[in-house]
Amino acid sequence: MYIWVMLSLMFATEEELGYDPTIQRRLDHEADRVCFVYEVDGHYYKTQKAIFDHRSLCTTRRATRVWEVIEVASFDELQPLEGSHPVVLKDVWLDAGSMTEGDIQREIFADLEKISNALQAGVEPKGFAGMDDESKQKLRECLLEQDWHRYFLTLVHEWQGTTSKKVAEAAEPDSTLFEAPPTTVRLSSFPHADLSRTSLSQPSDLLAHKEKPFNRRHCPKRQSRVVFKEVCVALHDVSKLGDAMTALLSCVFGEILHPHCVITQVLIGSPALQLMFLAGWVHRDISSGNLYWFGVNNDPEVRGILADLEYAKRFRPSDGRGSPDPKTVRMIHIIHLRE
Amino acid sequence: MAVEIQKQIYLYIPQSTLDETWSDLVAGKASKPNSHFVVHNFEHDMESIFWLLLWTLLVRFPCNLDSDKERSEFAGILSEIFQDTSICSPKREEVFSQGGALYDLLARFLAPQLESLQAPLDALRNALVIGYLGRKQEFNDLSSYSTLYKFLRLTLSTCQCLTQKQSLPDLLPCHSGAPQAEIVNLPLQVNKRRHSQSNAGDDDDEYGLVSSKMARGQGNTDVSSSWILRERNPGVSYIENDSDS
Repeated sequence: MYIWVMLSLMFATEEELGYDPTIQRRLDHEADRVCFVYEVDGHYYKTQKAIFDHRSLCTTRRATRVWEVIEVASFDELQPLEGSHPVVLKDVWLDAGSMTEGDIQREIFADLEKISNALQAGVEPKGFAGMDDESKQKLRECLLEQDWHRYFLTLVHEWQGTTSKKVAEAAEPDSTLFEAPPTTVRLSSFPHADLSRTSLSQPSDLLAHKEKPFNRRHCPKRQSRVVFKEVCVALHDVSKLGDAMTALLSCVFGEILHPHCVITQVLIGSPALQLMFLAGWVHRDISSGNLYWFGVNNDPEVRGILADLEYAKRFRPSDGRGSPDPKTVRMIHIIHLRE
Repeated sequence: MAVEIQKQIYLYIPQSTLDETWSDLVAGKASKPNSHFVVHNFEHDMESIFWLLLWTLLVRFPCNLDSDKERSEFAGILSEIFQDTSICSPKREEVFSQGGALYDLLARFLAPQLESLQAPLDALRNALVIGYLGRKQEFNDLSSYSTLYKFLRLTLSTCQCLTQKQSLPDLLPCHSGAPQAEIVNLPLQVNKRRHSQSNAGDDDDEYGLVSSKMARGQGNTDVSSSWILRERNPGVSYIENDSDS
């Protein structure tokens, strides 16, 4: 076994060893700092600022990294291209069979186009039933003008990379390796509480090692990169409460003019969540890192943008089959685990 | 993340009479296993917006509590409600689904400048709960979702209106205080190490743990509030319980 492993390591290609030839680390002399240069669909982008870095070292998750970048000529020519503006690059590992953000966005737009065509022919969207008049009016205008594109992020480039290998067929999980770190237990604050059980950190500690459940599914992952035009601020980085409220409000409803308020900024409607509802899509991953405040100097368009559509899917409750992905877990499985 | 999704149980429980279930069970007709998926629906997306709003107002808005005891209690409650896991704590469920729990919580801990938002926030919570219960199992009934947008809009626009009427302090930062430029282009471990070194004292390890957790956890709806809590309440210790897979 030892010889096997050593020979495998010696004769593996750089890529098999984990090096990614489409990312290079460079010293940016101009800014006097280290940066990364990403290759995306034949274009090169130099990182300028980290926008979001969510569990990027966890290989079984999406390892999402979001950067503010600027286009350069190659890995070794770090001068920004003439006329290039800062854009956003998202580097993510998706499940091999799943749709990319671009695919999902195109499908949502196609569904909205169908609704728009129907509306022009006089058929109202099904989602209008029961909806308040103000929302309906706003959405009707948006659908008839077919200008929903600007309420989502604008894709500049997309790229699909390599797919990771499957777990080898002969591989067997060994629960004694890579054991989960012990969980800290909150001690009871009652003065006479029985503390005898507090050494058990989790229910599975009651089982012997070999009996521990090890039923994690590891599916192959595919490298995916997207470059967006809009450089936004994630909700958790917004520093003004007013801006945070603007982001939340306009992500759902777009422009709202409250009769008692003096709106100092012009809000352009961005009813992304309601548009998705009309198109029959659920987002499923709304979070402070996926909801952005977008405001550019000298640009009157201040709005919230709902992004990161990788988990979005068509709402089909009657489908019955569901999906085994992490966002919908089978009830019976949960019960089994609890037992 | 919505409570139903976290708990994988619908809030609505179909009612049946005791006589019916008794006679079925006595006749040997075992209860059918509840093998339904909790399918993510449009209201779960709306509920995520509600939790983000609550997190912004409770965790990120500076609040001056007088005593250490109060600060410690508030921190404990927040860390139970906004955990960086996909597990729903009993406190989080209580705040959402038990009438009066959120109202009382806000009455005690919402910043005085935001006092007028207490009732609209609780009203939104109530609207969402009624939405879940009133839908029963008619998940295809689109009007059961479309009617709820109005309530979300009313609460959000009240919040926005408040920010227009008075000048409010800036929100507390989510990051560890280092300027963004310093964080750029450094691997996570380097950041963690630097924070630990810069925070000399006997809580270095804990500080490193908290900052690394924040770096990982800030993308969730259930954003970890630990770092902000520590900033707000120096000297109060928090127990990290990251049971996410």
